[in-house]
Amino acid sequence: MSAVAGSRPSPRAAAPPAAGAPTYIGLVTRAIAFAVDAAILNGVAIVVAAGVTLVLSVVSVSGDLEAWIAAAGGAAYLLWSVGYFATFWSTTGQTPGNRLMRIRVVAASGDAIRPRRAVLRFAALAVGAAALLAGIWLILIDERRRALHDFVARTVVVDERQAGRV
Amino acid sequence: MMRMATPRVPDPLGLRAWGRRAGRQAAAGAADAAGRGGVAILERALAWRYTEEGLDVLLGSPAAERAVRTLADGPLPDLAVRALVRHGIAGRVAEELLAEGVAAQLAERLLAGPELDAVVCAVVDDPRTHRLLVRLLESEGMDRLVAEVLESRLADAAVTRLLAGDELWRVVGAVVGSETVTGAITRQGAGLADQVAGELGERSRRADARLERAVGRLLHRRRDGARPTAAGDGSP
Repeated sequence: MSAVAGSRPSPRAAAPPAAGAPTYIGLVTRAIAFAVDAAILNGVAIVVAAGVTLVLSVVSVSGDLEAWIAAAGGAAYLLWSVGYFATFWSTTGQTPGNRLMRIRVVAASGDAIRPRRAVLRFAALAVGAAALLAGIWLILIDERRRALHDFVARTVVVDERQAGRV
Repeated sequence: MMRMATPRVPDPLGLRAWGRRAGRQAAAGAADAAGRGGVAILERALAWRYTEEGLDVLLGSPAAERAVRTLADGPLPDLAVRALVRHGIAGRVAEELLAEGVAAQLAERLLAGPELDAVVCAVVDDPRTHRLLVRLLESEGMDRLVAEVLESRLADAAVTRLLAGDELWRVVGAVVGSETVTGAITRQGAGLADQVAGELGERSRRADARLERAVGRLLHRRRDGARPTAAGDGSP
């Protein structure tokens, strides 16, 4: 983590430390932020899918090609989802949903996370959610309110005003 | 005292009358000759080469200036003006000037020249004008005038015409599209969104704390005071 900080200084790390301990963000706030992100993510995906479907409705394609297009669509959706979260987490530490809720994803040291770790975090999020949200419920019992993907990626979610003093 | 009656001398030839007529004719002739001589002298005097120089000296002298000042300060100008007005001369002169187009030429010259600008600027800049304007605007007469104008058909017609024309809507469009107005609306919208987001964040953080307390009770596990709360008053 310190290597990350050394190679890529974060603007938040440069922020003047304020008095008091950081506030780690709990399940409800994170769920609302994630819902906002999901709405944006799926809204864009639905619009794009509707456009592609409209085009395909007037162009006759074979069944095999339709299967390939569906597979490509699924891959594009996956790529779009990963890219969405990984880009925001590794740049500003805030997705639009996080921005709305004024929370930020940072490394345990308080620095911004690297893209590779952001992708890892997303993968862990997907695994934790797939297992009956078992990875998510950890937020309720961990002292730093970390979910499975936070443990895996060694990140925490804090109030945006306190991101520099984790 | 008794006056002695003059004895009347008989004049059968009418010499007395002839003599009186001859005397009158001689006197008239002498007066005529004297007049002609005087005119001739005056003409000679005016044609004299030193007369003009003498007049220049005279008119340029302090005595002439004093004389003119005395004349102007005296009652003569007032008398002259009154006489001009009383006899209608001023009116006739004005009519003659108007008929000749002098007034139009004068107005044209006045509008074209710099004098009008200077006069208007001087009047506008004068503090007395400001005081007069303030007094006028604060007067009851102005209130009545404004009220009458607003209640008149003129105001209705003006408003109707304004609403029917494109000018008002062009002005409204320009105002709405101006950077000041759009900036103010954007700032207000951003402020509202910020306020809503802040309130939502506060409530969700309180919900976080409540949910975790409920889970803690459910798991019979009390968290120590290091556990952060939604209000941020704890530590990890």
